[in-house]
Amino acid sequence: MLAKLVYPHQGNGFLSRLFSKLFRKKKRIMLGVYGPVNSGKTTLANRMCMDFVGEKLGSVSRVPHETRSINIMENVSLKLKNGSSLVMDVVDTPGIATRITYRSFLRYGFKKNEALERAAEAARGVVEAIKSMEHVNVALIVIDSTKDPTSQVNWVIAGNLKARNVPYIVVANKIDLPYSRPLRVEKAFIDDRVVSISALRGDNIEELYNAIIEVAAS
Amino acid sequence: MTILFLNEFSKKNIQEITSFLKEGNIIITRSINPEAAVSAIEDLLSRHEGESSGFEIEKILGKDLFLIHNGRVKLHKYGNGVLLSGEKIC
Repeated sequence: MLAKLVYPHQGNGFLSRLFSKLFRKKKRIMLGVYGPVNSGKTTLANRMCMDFVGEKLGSVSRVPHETRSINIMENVSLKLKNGSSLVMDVVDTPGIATRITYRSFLRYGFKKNEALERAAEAARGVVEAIKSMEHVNVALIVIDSTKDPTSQVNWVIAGNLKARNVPYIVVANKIDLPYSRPLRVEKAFIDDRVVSISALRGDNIEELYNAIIEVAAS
Repeated sequence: MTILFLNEFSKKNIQEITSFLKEGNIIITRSINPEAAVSAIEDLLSRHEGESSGFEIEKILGKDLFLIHNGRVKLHKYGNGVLLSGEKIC
């Protein structure tokens, strides 16, 4: 006799809802990539998308606030050599800053009108990035390891994710650069999981992928 | 320019803080709630007007005292003390 196969998440009871929630959480997550401006968020998002989808997500530039709106790559299937896997929507966000001034764009050759427009777009981007924190399941805080990790922006991002119960991994990026000091990042975020990488060269990227899968499963 | 001393930058006083900063004043506080800070950033940047918006947070004298200002204040450290100076109209 053939038994009818019923998946737990197809019922209407409490348990089925619970199973449904758990399975959905493990099957597909929304991964938010956050950090201050020019910390390498888009380079990292591009690296992940190139590794698993074969397409880039956004353009990279030395000009601050180059990413002025949220970019999402859906259904990125992260599969590792050890057999573990995860499907995620990668959300690349504009760099978070506490203050935006048009003067910072003048240094990069923009005329005043263009700089003012850029500053307004950047401000809208920061607001978008902040709002997106409500929707992500796991977050990466990307920090430029050549700079002081104790900046207030990093602290504000981490504090907010904590308050929203969003698990996060601190990514000490740019370890390929000579002045990189990833240990300083580890000390600044002593209670958090820190992974040191070079998103540009791909150094240690497998460790980050493993960490994402572990955090998503926890 | 007026200086406001606050025990905590909390969710309760976001409006008071953003209005105060927009007028070019500065705030010294012992602690900052990150959610309140993000709400204030969101509030100020979503009404981005003209040349700049938002605020800067700097640590003064160790880790338990913060200076919050609109970016036109300079903080100079002298031994055990600090000097605050304003650039044009703060």
